[in-house]
Amino acid sequence: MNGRTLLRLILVSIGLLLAGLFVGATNQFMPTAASAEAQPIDALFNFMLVIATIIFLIVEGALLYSIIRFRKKPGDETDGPPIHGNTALELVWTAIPAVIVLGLSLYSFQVFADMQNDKDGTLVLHVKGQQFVWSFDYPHDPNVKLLSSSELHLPINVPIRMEIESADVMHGFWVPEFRIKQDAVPGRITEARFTPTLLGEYNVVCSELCGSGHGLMHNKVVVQSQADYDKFVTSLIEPEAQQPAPGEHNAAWGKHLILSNEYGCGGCHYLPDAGIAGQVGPTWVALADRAAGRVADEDAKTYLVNSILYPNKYVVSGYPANVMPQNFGQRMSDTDLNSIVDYLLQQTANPTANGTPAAKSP
Amino acid sequence: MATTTVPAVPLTSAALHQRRQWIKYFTWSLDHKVIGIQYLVTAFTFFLIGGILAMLIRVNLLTPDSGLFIDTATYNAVFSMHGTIMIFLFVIPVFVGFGNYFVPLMIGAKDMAFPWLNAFAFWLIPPAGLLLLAGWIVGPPGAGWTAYFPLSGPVYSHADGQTLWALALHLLGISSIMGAMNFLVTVKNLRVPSMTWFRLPLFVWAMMATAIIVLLATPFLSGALTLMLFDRLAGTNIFNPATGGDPLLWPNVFWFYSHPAVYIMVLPGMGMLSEVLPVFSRKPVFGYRAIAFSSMGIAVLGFVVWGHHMFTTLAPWTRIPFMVTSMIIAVPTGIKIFGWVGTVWRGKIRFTASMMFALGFLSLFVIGGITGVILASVPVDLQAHGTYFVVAHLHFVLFGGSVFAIMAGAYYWFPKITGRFLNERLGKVHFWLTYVGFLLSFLPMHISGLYGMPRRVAVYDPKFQAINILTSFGAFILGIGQLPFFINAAVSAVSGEVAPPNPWNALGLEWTTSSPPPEHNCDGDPVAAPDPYGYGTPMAVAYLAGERNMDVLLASGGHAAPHFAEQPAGGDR
Repeated sequence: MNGRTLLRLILVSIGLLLAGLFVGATNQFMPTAASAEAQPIDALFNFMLVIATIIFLIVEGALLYSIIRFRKKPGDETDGPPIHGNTALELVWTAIPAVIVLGLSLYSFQVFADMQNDKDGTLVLHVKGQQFVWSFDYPHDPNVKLLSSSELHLPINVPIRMEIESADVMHGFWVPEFRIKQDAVPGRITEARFTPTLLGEYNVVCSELCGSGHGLMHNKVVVQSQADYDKFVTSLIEPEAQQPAPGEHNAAWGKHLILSNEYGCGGCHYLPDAGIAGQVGPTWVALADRAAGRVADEDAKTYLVNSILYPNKYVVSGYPANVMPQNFGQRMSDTDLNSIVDYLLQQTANPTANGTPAAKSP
Repeated sequence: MATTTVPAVPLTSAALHQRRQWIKYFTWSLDHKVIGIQYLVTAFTFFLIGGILAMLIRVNLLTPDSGLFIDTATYNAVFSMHGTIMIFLFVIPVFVGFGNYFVPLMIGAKDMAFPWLNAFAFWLIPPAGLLLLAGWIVGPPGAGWTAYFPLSGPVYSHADGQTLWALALHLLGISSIMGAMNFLVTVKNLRVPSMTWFRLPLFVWAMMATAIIVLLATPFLSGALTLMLFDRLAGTNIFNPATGGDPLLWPNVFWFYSHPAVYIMVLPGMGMLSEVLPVFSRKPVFGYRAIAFSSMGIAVLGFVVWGHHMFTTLAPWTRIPFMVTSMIIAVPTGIKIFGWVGTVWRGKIRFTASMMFALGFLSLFVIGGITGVILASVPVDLQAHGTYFVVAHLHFVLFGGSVFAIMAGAYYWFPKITGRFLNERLGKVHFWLTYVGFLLSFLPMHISGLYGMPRRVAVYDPKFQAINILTSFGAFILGIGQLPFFINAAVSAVSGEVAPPNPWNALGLEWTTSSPPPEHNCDGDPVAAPDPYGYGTPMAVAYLAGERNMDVLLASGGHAAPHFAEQPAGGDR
């Protein structure tokens, strides 16, 4: 190797390194980082991008150079030089990638191990995934009763451990801005640990195919100050006077089931009286007025029962079929079913009939 | 009058012969070449069906709402069918088709070792395909090609399409296992004497590695499918947590098959690349043994990486060993890629359509390999898993990799199969539409995935609409870009330019017989070139000129060639 070749090699190497560093430092491939875990993960990702860029440029560069430089000259029908291989070169391109991937394994392990550590003052929250909605339970004084929430509220800079369960099929708990993803597996409690570090509103989306409504399964995440968080949790307390007991045909119990997100109704349906604001399915405001006569030979009550047990029997025009879970027949007790239907039968547009003001229709 | 009827007789019989020729592809034939064509035509038909489903997916994703399919369950069925068809009815059988046609020819055999078994293995495929498609009649499967429980169980997928899905895959698995056994015995026992292990074409090495994987992995798929059928039909609760079953048993067993299956889908393509690149670079393949052994290394390592499909599912610490093995498997893959670049380097490149697809494979597979390493890192995968980043990665590997290799092989071997060339100009149009459409379609998916778009969604956050329109636009170019190929194949098979026995001046044994080969493949035992990729050596000149005396060929010099002009002779071979 003469001096000129050496110089060229050094220049190319410096160029590759600079290109790699440039991509690693300036890329915008990841969304906003809103958790303490996001920083080391992004740093690892960017480090991998530096190496990836260098390898990419070497291979594509050599390929492009060959395509331009080594194309057959017109009229030349002879073969190229019979080069069968080069042991030294082959050893180099086996050893260098081996060192790189082992190094990346170690680095990745370090980042992952740090995420698994228990941190002081960890707040333990409970998540339940079901077709096609998430619901969240917060730690609270055992003397009060707390409703489940369809929004995930988190105090900023407090380490969180989410305990994740599924009521039906597999789901994936994912907040892209937190870089955290963990599957919800029926029959198991799985865990996700992170510390939110940036105030704002994000989305928890489902990342594991869970049925026809998979793409609709996302709930709001709010990272807020400790004071706002406390205020939110307090707002979930169900006053003792309003805590109904389970009972056959008990409309108050039906409302409680909806309010507490027991069956995930609020993920899709809209009814301010029961504290739910879903936008995916048909609204429940003044539902009782429409229920009768929608299907021939079905009174309002039969229609509502059928709509819960056999959601595809009648699909309100403009809304997708198959999104509503079809297994409430197995999951919902008769007590709960009748109570929910009784509560829904109270939803009429006439405010005097059930004491609720006529709500806006979405 | 008599003078006019006499020449009419041979014409009629020739026409009748043509007709019989055509019909034999629809009959039970024991000829490996007929079976090979049956595989290829069947697989490309399913490529067309799977492609139409892909177009429907991309039309639907033009808008963030449920768009084309008001019923989101239909969307789930479309992508489930797309994945299943492309994997099990296109990529896997198309390679078996090429292998069936060319492995016996490349080793100088008259047929596969078990011709009856060979025909039986093929004839399981059309009924399996029909069984799968019949799902549309009884309620199609919608749990994805991975069919995770409990979603694919009787409660959440009550339509019978999911059962038919399992039955169809069962048949295809049996077909694969029989084919693999046949390949291994054929290569082991039916090579001509001059075809020693290290004169074996790299495509044959790749088919052997593939057959070993199929033989060891596919029974696990069969086992899992049997359990699925028990749960769906016989009322067992093997995957049902409510009664002590475990839903995680399914993904573990499924991926224990399906990760090795990724290599079933790409190793034969890599083998084709090792055939095409040396011929059109007019240079020996760079590092024959390294490429052959890396196939075997991938076959072995491929069995211990399945957990990386479950980095968000498995208990945290069990993810680490799978991360390390998944990282390491990049090394043998890298050896192949560098070896191919070394093959092209300093060659005298002929830009045929076949070569363009081979170079396209190289340029795209690098990207798929790099994103594979990124996905192998557990912390980064926490962001990328289950998103469009994975969709991008798998299409770079399976389309940018496998399908580009299939096309390279198709243009390369079409003259041998039909005796006629595919039109090169149309082939280049096909290449550029495919290449540009592919990049427009799949590059943007990396970004939408990392930014928060999960895969398998019929509706999505409107902020991803622009990137999805770009992706769909690319996909339409890609889809339309395949039409020139199908038209080309149909027209050229009948009226293409007639091809000589060895149109590319290649050294493989398949080129020493006529195009198309006679029913018995060749007369006597053909003599293999002492170096299957010895382009540029005096041996190659002698062999291509018709010299078949092994002593003369060996003496002519093809082995001790210097690696680089400025280096002394010597090397690893």
